[in-house]
Amino acid sequence: MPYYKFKSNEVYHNTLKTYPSIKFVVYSGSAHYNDNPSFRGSFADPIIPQKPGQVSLYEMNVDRSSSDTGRFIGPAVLSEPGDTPEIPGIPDNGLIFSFVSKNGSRLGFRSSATDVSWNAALYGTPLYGNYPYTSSISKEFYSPTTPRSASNPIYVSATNMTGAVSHLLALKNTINHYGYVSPEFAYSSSARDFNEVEIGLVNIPTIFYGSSIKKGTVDLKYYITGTLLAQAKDKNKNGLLMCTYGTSSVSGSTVGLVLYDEGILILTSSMELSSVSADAYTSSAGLSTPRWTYFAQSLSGSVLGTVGPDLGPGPDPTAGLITATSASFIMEMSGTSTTQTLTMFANAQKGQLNQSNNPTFLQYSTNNYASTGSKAYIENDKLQIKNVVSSSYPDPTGSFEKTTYISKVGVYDENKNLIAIAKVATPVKKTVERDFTFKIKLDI
Amino acid sequence: MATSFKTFDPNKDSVVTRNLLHEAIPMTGTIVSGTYADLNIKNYSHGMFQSVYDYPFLSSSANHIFDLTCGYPATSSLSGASSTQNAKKINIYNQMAQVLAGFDAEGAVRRFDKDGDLTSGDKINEAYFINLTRLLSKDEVKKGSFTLSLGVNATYGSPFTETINITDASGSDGYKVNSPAGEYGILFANNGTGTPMATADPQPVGLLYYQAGIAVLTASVFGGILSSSAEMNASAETVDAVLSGSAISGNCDDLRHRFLNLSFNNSTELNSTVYFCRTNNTDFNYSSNPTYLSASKMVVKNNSQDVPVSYVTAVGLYSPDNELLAVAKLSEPLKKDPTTEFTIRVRLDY
Repeated sequence: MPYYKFKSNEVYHNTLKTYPSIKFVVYSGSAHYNDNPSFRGSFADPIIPQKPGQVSLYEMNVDRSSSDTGRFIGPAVLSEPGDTPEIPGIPDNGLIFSFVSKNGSRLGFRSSATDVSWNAALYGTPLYGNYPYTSSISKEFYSPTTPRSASNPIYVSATNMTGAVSHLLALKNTINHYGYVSPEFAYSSSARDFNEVEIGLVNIPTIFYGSSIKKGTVDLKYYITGTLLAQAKDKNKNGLLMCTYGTSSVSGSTVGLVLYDEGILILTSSMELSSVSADAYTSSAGLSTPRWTYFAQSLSGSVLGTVGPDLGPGPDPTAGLITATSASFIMEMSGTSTTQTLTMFANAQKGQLNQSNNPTFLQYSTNNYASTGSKAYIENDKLQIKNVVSSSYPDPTGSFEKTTYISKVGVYDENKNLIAIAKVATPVKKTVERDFTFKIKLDI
Repeated sequence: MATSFKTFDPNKDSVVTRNLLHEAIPMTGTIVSGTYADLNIKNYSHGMFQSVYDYPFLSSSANHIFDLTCGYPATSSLSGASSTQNAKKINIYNQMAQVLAGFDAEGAVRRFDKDGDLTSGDKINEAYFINLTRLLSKDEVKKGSFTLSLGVNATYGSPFTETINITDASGSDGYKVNSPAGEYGILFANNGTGTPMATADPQPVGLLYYQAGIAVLTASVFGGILSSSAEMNASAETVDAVLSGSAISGNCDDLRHRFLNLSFNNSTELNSTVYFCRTNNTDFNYSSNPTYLSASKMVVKNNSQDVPVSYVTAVGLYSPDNELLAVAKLSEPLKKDPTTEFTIRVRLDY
């Protein structure tokens, strides 16, 4: 079998860039991703323990529900006999979950272990994690008075939280960085200070859009009772969200910013989109009229308060569940996904690759055995090649012509190890006069 | 940005560690034996094994959980021209045996040994194989955590009236290493519900290959070790009759019919290097950050007598030719002045 070395112009590395579309529908406290339905299983509803707008990073517990079986996986007691307190074994609750045994490596799970619980656990104690790990969009609403940093205390406790800043303030340098695109990208200017105005922040995790949101594809729609109230697009591909449909006082103006690489939408327009259609956006107790800063507000936990999780401001439990039942929102855009590809051109030149070691290449009646003796090893030098040239008659055939059929191309490394095989859909007829170039593409 | 470097002493400032991350994997037998009306069971045209999923396999949500197959060697009493799929069963056994048990001095495929002592003792001739997927077994099955409960009641229609529990309880400290496929433990059967076993428990009934994630189960769990042999199908055939007279897929169906529970813990190795980055009292008290100075004065010093202060926000790891390879960020800046020393522990997982 002949080997041919790829020349420098026969191997190319390319990047294939694709733009998968993304769609979120936000309504009544939930986000729905790409219109994916939610299925009920035989044991669990939904079959995967995630909300509709989430992407599960670890789909292990398919159609499983938690129940105490009373069994243990492995020994029922992990500690040595007589040790107190006793360390119970790994419980079988019907779900797949992760765990590590506490040791000196200081490993633990962020979702379950705190400093206090980790320190209190005996060495050898299992520390548990939970599946699934999910990712989802989130919305944060900052009123003019919502504190942006610890200097305006947002979460004071006995632990070291005083250094925390809000997600909005954490984006200050990033926002200012894009100032070369438009003066609108300024955290604080004579026209506006993000610390003092109403802001809606929509965070889209990178798993949804890849390396970047494609410029010019962001499309936000604001519906009231199913009727389109307003629409905003980044039609100039410069990160400025322009209101393209809606009340005349807002239409045509810039209503927000898009941070394409970071997956952040910053909605800045607090102008009224409608004087009617008031709904419970910021408080279950009070009604407000629609505005762009309320976009996707019905995602639960959208109102920030003075208490929250460990880092940064968190949902305000006193605000109640904000559902804004008359409003629904659609957010569409395209992400950017890159795939590295290797393209190789394998050439079959004229006058080459006209011989095959396939047994069917020879006449059926050909005797190809070698005769051996005490003084000689002789192969048959009169092997007859099967003539497959077609003619109008089954026999005799047409004039003899060396013919092979190429069915696959092997790719070898420099040590002649076969590392890949490319197969053609149907064998390609190769005669002495014909030459071919096979284009082989490999995603890497 | 750092403008001064401290060189690691490889003997004192870094250590390679290995930690184990585990997952608890419970599998209720109903998934395997009928909840989904066998829509989660995939049989192939080659007929040499059967795949089991945790959900109907046409759904994109389904996970492949294990494969089932069975076989016997050519020397088995069940081997014969009249046996269904005889060659395939022999090939399956030989393939599993040569990978898991290896070859003897003459180059012949070793048969599975009941107690792992290859020099003598009983062999496992007729065997079921449970090949756990890599998704579930990960790097290896955690030793001493495997439990398989089988219904062994004699009547086919009520298999779980009597059960046995098969465990590798001795695996945590009694595993074997004389296999080309890694470490393995002996599976022992104990009475579960009722006392179906003919002799005192525990009895060795198979082998569990931890790294390969394969359980080898002797067919005698449904015959020889029981007081009353189990009926393997609706025709009340014994396990030997089914092994010789039914196809591999049929044998797998019969095994699944008696599958009560399977659970084990898996392990994933996390290899890490920990670098101890030591800052002595006189180190890193100054910063080249532009904000450190204002009008040629340190902004953190009010008068000349104040000690210099800096805030450590990140640790850069550099190659010997001073190329930045990795950056470790602190969750919050650490205040550093000449009165303090830190050892910052940087762990690199790979």
